[in-house]
Amino acid sequence: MAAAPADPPAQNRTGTTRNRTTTRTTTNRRKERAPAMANTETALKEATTIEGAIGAALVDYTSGMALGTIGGGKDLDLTVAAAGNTDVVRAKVRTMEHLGLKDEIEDILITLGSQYHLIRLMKSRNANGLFLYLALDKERANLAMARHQLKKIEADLEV
Amino acid sequence: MTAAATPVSPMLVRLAEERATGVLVRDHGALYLADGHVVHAESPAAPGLDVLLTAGGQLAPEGWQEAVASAGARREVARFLVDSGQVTGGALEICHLGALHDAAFFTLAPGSGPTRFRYGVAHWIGTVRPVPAAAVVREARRRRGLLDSVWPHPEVDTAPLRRRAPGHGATATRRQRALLELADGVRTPSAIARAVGRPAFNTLIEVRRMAAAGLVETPSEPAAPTPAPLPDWVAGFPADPDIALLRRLRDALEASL
Repeated sequence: MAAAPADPPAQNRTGTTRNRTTTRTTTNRRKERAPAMANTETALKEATTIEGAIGAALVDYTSGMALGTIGGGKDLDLTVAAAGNTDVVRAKVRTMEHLGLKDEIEDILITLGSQYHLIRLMKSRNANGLFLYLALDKERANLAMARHQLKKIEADLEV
Repeated sequence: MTAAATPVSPMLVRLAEERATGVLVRDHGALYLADGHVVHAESPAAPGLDVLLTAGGQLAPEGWQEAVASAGARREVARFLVDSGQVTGGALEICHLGALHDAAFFTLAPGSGPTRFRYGVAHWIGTVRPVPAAAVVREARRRRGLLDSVWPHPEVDTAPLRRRAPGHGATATRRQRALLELADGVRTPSAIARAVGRPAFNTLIEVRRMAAAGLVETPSEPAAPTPAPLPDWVAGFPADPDIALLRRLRDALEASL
């Protein structure tokens, strides 16, 4: 008897889920659902709208793999940059552990003669560390704005 | 470095060129293609998407089961997870890409037996983000080179992980400590990856770093000859499928759904 009342709601629940999905399937499902699935691409595209942006990448810092890249071009191979900058992040994380600092790295700035390279570590629930990598043209970029915008992009990505 | 020069599955290159759809099966895993792009990969050596999503607390195990039960038959499990609000699109995509490249790395391991392809097969996870086959091959090769550049001893990848007595100043990072806690001399890096819910390659790279730092032992003998091969029901598909049986099965499923 105890099981009987519990069963129908469960069925109803899946039933309604299915109905809802079916309705949506008939109404232009591709257009409606596509954006939710293209999140990393959207985030990277947004990064290129930052003033002075040359290229951006989303990187897994243990494997060094770029999960997505945008821009860059022949002057800046973002896949290579992604893999190489994982060493930068790892070195800093390690140093902080040696120092016993219980803080978290928010971002890392590398200033070149003509470019800024900004690395923003993502506070993800994912067990693997990720970072956003942004290369900026020093002449055109507003560093404070860029940091602020990158922070917002991270929040939008909601990993 | 020798591994980097080995051509990885010429068949995959050809299938990508002809924009094939189906599943490519080798001894240590399977790659699912759609229009010549890799859409999913599985390997017994790599934790599946379900493990990666649930271990981090991003998804409850029941949520995964419900998604498979509700949307598996129409091959839209990934969409279901996002549409039902259990996982955000970004989180799923990142996790799926990680799982795809992880399994592909083991599937494309040099010299892992014959390569077979079955046309028309699609995975029930559905489409998340297709990756060009060339990018998958390139990444697998990069990963192999990276492992060897850290510590050129592949023996540590498959042997049970054993700690070494500390005493020379090397310390483990926070991530490495989580792995060391499970180094009981029985579990292999693959088993540890599954237990902590991280991609197997990410575990291998940490294991090689720890071996290089002298935190874990490097076995002198090549250990277990091969990682777990695919189960026979996946790897040993017959050349001629029983079409009539499949049709009956499909009809029965459609009738009951």
